[in-house]
Amino acid sequence: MEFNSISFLIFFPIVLLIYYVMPKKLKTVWLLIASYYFYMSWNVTYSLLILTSTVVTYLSGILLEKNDKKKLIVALSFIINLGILFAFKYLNFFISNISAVSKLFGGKEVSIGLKLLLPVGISFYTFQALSYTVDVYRGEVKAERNFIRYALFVSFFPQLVAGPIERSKNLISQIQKLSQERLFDFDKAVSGFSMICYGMFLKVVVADHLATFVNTGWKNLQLVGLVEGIFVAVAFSFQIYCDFGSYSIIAIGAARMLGIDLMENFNTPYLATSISDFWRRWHISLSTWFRDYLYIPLGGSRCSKVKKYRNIMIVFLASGLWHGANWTYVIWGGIHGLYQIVGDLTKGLRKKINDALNVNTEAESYRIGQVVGTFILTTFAWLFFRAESMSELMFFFKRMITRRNPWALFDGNLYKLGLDRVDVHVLFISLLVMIVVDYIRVKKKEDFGEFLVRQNLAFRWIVLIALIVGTIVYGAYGVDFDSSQFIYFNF
Amino acid sequence: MKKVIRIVCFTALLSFCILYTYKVLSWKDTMGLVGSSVIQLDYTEENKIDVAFVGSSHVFAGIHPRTLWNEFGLATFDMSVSCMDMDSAYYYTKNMLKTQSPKYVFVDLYSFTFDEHKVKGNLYRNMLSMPMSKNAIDLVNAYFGDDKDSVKDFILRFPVMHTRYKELTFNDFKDLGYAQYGRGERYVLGAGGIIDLSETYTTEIAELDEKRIKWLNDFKQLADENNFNLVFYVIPYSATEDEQKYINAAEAFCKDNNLEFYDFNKMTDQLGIDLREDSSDALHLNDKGAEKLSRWIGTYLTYEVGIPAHYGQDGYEMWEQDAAYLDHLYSLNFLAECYNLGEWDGFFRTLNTIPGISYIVSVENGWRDVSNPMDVFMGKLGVSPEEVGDGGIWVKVQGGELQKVADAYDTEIHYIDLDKLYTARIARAEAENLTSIMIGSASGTLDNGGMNIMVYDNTKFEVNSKWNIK
Repeated sequence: MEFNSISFLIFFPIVLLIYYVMPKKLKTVWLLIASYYFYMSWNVTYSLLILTSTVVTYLSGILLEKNDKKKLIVALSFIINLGILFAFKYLNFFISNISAVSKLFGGKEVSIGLKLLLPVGISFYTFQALSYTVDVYRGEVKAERNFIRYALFVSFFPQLVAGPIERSKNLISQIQKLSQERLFDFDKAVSGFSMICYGMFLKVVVADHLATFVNTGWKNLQLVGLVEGIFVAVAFSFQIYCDFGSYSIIAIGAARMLGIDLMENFNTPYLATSISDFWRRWHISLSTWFRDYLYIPLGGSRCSKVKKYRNIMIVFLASGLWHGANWTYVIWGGIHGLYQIVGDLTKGLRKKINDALNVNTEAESYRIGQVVGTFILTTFAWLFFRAESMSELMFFFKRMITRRNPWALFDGNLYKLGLDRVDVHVLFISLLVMIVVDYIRVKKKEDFGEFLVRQNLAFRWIVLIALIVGTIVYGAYGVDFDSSQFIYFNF
Repeated sequence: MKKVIRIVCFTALLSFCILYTYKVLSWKDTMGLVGSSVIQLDYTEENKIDVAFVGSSHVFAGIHPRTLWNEFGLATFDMSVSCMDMDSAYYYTKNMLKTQSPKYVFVDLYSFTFDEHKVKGNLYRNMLSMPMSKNAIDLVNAYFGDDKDSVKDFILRFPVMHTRYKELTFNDFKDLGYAQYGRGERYVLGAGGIIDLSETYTTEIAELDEKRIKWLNDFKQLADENNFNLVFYVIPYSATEDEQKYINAAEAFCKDNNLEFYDFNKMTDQLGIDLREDSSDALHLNDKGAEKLSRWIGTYLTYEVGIPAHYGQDGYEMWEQDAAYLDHLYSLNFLAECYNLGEWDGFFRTLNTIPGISYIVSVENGWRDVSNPMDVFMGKLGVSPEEVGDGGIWVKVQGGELQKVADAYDTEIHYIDLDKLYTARIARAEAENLTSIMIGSASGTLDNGGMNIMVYDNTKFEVNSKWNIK
């Protein structure tokens, strides 16, 4: 059941209504039932996997508080959970690589003849459950004894299949309060509803239209020259932001309507002034997870420079691999790691150059330059993320280099990549909406829902109705569109 | 309590906005141009239709309610959608019976000869032409069966029609024009094809599947329950051998169940139809063929069945207006014929007297150098030689007089309101004989020497034609 589906639009109001009518003591149970129903709408059998992960990490938490063999318990929890993740997500990739190496040395092709469907959200809930194990191990949280509450922590449906990857400190404590406090807050519910409306708009109007453009470009690389290539690359940067960002926005909104606050997952990432700044704004829940559970345990930056850079590369390669079982993702991660290392190595040199040239680093123009430069670097890296293979990516670069065609900006060719003039105009206006919302985030330090709930009633209603009707009219859905699944569902 | 009121008010306002959006975006054929006449049923007073003709484009091309009204005073209606399928035929009829009590319902058997739509546009027209109702939902469920995704899309309708924002016209915002009085037909003037009956002589009978048998029985039951006479028929078209086998099977069913059946493919002589002259293409009669078929049916309904005429009675004005509309189309057609034959008297007389049009006439500057009697031609429009002078631009707005709006060499821009929708922007360009005219999104340049005429059809809200006379 995707968020942008009729099923969810029926499911969620029912869950919400019953949730607020239900006695306090049963709210947790109800949400757990709803969460498992939500997950089973994807695949009933794979709900056993999430249950397994839940049981293993629940028991690990209890055992950690009772047992001295803490490291063994943590290790077992990791082995079991990552083992399941490996089996479903990476086994075929691993085997195909072994097979490739074997053939390289004149050996036979290796195959296990097993094709497992990737369970939706496995990368997310596995990491979420493992973070709990480590948090208990570190004594940052107490083990949750109530299995229902813990199971809800792992399976809470708004963030189950594509994040944000929550922390036990934040989410379990809120779940504990469900059976104790009166939860309904009208303003919070309105704020959450606003987030859902905005998230749907971002997904169905912006991201899915961009997807049409990007997919057409990638499917027809023979038509792509330098200009088209640039537009396709930039469009993908916005597509992935709007697609993934919209899911997080809807998740946060839905949770907020239930009285639960999820962590922010995106904070205007394309306004970042450096790659490290970018990673403080993009997929915040994942980047902080890797920081807290891999980078810092490896030593973080409190070690020699060589080790620090090693740690950075390990984290980003792991992050790449987390995104998918394909070398393109690993290379994407590696590129970001390289960016960080080069950025760090050249920090001093860049300062010297700026001083020598009398560059005013406080000027707005300098900041704009940093933002544009960072955007170009991230867009370049996204190409590795988007390409289905290295050969496809190389062909893309080749087309851009060999077909320099500035006239494509004026001859209407850009309207032949899946979107006609009207679509492009709609997209342009909707991207402006996104930019305005991001601008509000920067200036007011509050998200769209929080901002809107403070406004006057008439303005709020106009905005919400415009978003809803705009989504219905301009959305990329229906009989002539491919149902564009959220990109991060693939993980 | 305040918050509950707020939620209710917001929901009501949102619902209103969505309903208005639905109204604008919903697929509608208000000008009889794109293959469905069903919307015209909505404008019909209750219980006025004597006879309904249900079926595909064969019906809206082949049956003229105008002929049945003008010659027999019968109030008939073409309930037709392009390529109407079996389920649509049944549910559209059922829906019509909510507001009408026809004495006869003729059901075209072309629907009977195929199972699924091959053309997406026809699928949309059939599934979406009926206003949302239980019948509309039942139709979608019946047609798509187990295909739950399509059922959901066509019941919600937005998934299918929301992209219509790219093709909205004034018809989507205002109820104008032909929609309000059309009786379902689409007039196709002149011959353009030939119906080939060579495969219709098979006498084999197809074995009917359950769906087809049920369809025939359901219609029979509907007729019994609603007290109308059911007639299955075939309007002349190039039926294939396989299609003819289905038609033969339907005929057998009708014989067994005492139902009326007419295969007009086999009665072309009786109807006086010459397929070379009376068909517009391989599948449809043209206006002449339709008139002959309609006349035969009218004679049958009046003299054998005894349905009375409704001349002069209240509530039948739409049939009068519809008849006048065809006269209007015939006049425009005659205008073209006169032009092609150089019959200037007929041309200018028709131009001057057709109701429902406006026109712009431009006479080239300094026309006296040209050996053409522009003043004579303009005289046929009632303009004196003195007024013609060295040339200029004249406009006649529907129902008004022909007026000079620009003298020769006048390069000012002139705006003339043609109707409540469109204003003509007329300008004579720097180069002497270029008159540019913009009407809505249509634009034209009258740039030939002599006299140029642009005709705007106020009934259809569009530019009809451009003529040049040298």
